[in-house]
Amino acid sequence: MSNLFGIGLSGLGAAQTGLSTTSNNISNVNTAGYSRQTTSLSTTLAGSGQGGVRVTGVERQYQQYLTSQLNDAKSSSSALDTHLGQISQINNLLGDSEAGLAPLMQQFFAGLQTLAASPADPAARESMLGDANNMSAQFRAFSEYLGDMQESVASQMGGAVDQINNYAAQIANLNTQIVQTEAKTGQTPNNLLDQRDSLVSAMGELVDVKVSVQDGNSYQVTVAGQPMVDANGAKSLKLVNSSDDPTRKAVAFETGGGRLRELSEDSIRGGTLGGLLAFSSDSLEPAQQRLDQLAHTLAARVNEVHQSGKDLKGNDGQAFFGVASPASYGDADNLGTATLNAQFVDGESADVRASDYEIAYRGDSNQYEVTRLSDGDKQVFDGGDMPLTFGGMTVDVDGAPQDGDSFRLKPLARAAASFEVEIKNTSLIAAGQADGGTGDNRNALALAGLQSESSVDGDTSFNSSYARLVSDIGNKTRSLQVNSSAQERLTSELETAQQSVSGVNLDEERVNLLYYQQMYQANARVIETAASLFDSLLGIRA
Amino acid sequence: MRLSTNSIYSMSMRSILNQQSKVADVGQQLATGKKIVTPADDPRAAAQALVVSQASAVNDQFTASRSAARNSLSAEEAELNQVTSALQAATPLLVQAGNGTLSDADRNSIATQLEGVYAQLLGSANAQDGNGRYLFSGFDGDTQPFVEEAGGVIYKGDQGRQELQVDASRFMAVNDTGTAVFASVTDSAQYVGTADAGNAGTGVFTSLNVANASAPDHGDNFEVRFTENGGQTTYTVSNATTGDTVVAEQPFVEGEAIALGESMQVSLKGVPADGDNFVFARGRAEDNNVLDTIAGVIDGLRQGTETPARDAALKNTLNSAHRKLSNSLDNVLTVRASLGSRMNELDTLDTVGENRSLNYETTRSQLEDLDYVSAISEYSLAQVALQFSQQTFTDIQKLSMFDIV
Repeated sequence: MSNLFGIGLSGLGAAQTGLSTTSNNISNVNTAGYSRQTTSLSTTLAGSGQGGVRVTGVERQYQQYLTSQLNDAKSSSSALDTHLGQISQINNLLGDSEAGLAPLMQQFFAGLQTLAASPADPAARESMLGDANNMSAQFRAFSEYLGDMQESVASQMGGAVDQINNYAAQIANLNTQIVQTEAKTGQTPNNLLDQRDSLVSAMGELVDVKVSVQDGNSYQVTVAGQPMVDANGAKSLKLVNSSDDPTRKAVAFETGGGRLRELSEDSIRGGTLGGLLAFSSDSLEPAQQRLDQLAHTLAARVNEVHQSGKDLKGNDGQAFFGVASPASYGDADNLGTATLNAQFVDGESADVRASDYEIAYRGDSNQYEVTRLSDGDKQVFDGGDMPLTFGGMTVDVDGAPQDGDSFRLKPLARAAASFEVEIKNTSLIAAGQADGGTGDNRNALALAGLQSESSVDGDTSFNSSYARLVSDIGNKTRSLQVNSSAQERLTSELETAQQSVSGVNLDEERVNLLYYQQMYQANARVIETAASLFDSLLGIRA
Repeated sequence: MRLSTNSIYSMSMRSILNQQSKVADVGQQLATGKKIVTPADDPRAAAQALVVSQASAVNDQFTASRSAARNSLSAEEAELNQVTSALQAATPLLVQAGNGTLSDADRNSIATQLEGVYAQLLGSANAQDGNGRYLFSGFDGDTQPFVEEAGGVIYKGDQGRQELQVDASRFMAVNDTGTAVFASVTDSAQYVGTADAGNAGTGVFTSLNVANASAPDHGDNFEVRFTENGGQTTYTVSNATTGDTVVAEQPFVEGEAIALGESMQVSLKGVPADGDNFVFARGRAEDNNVLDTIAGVIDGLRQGTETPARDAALKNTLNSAHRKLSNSLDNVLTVRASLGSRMNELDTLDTVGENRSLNYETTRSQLEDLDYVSAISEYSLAQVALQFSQQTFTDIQKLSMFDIV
């Protein structure tokens, strides 16, 4: 009979634990990353001769696969949102049709037609020069805007990398704490597990991570196939200049001992970092190259026609716009001493493509393999047959390359940014074609005729080329909007699914509260009954 | 499925936010009046709108070019109108000067009147536009086209014709050179007879007529040369274009027709002296400068008619000048007809351009502009949906066990 006290007492204890677990759930209803906990009870061990209840544990309601799915979805969602957020800035800029490039290009050609109507009129010449300056300034402004975005992307990437490293260190730290606590107390430290999962989720919003659980409940976190965190601690990422193109940023993995392994862009798809990389290579760079191509072709064609004319004094026309030369970079790992010297070929601006080129040297056959990066088109040139001629350029190799050396050629790298009017004096505008005769307007007409010429890529007018840039950005933004909202729906469904396991429901907790309250009261009644039974016994003796 | 309290809240919240952004999107369309606020709203239409806007801008350029062309052509037409009047005023003076009863004083008076015509023509030939550029000097608008030098008026301009692009595939010349206006003849110009300046006889050519306009030598130049041998005057006609002699030495009979090849005939009054010669030609450059023609007449009138030979020379000069002036007038009228047809063409192109402009505007509007009726109904719908989301949220958050037990 005396064990009635024990049974009642065990019930009181269990009810208290239940009440405390429920209260903890209620108080953490709004805590991000909190997984609800339940009290699990069982009878005291059979055969001990005692009755009663026993708290076997406070269990964390958690499904690893749901959390992993949710993390993946959030990571993709974050990548899409980041990309969308960035490209929207370009999309909004292009939305203002009055402020874009198109009206200023139209103005430039209208200025040429006006010049054709009165080729000797200083006012017409001045205004045409003004139109040219306005147009080139808008090209530079647009290019600068995109350039600023590139810098901003680089700095955001730097921020993301720092945060990723920070999270990795924290996860490694929690790994240690969790293992130690478990060893010390034999209990699962639920709050630490929640914290660690929150960190993994936060890290997943920056970059796509893969998590596997190692022995002793410690997390191994993999980023882009590289082990960022394991039982031994955390490694770190670093933002570096890409070895094959120093104008671009790349993410490198510090393998230890200060050694860096550059990660390919394709290996990082998720999170803010993946979104920034995708924006940079899929949206920003193509837009910059399109713009540069337009600026270059416009400058080159106008120069060609202008130089074939005569100015007001009967002298040969000079270059109207400045044209930047192609830029090239040797790979940082090159063994040879070779550098590239690339020049545009006059009259072949239609062959200049909106793309960078990769040039690889094969020592055994003395050949250069040229890859156009926009579409992967390959050409092989014999090393004895210099210069290499492709894409409206000639490329000379100065110095001695070694087998395996590679070079990055950026033909249009500075075209829009350095798009300047070189003609400073109105009398230098070559409106005529013959000597003398200030009323000769034939060259002005020829220049004006460039407006409808299919100059860009040899098949597109300047305006259509710009329209293509606009529709390209519009299409990408549109498809990102659609993908992003689809991904958001998926994420929210997974979140609901994950929450259906781990989330706190207040109604449910209210019921639990009543349930444990009644359990407590009932067990108290058991003790009271036991006490009255004792009293009865004691009464007999008296 | 078990729902967490957070899920319930965040679902409601998400639905409210979605509806809000829909209201904001349609609201922005209504505020701008455009259905394409950024290219992403309709990338194809956004690019199409750019193409249409360029087409429209180019069309506007052509309109401006046509206006410039019309200005130039009108200025030229105004000058040529003056030139026509001047030439028409000169013709009766030439007829009058040919009157045999005139005294030297009368001829001087006519010469003075012709000097007025000459000055007027020279003024028109050297006319300038509002910017001080000469109308009739080709490309070389800074150079005075007609300059008086010893031996006549010399054209200093060039043969450039300025063209303007007045439509997608139409380049229109907006000037005519001084040569074309003042020193040219049409293809159908009449023959002009010219007595050699050294003629000593009294031969005066008259009745220069077409015998057969379809003869193969029509248009060739002919030369009639007189020889006097022992009181017998004979003539020889040669085709100066081919170099052939077409009429071998024939005795000259005053007033009898002389055949100039198969196509022309002429007769002469008076008696030519030995070595006198006459040229009958069409479209020769030296015959065509209207200023030189009038200057020649003035010169002749001033020289008087003291001797029969002088008298004959004056008559010949007047005969030549009459034909030349008539040829020049025809030429100027032809140039004016061409100006008129160019101006008519500009009017036609203007009409076409306006229609095109309207089409572009319609297309652009279809691509970019908002359909207010459907946008407003969409807006109302989005507002109602937002209100319901908000209502649902308030209702759900009231349902709590804590409020009941």
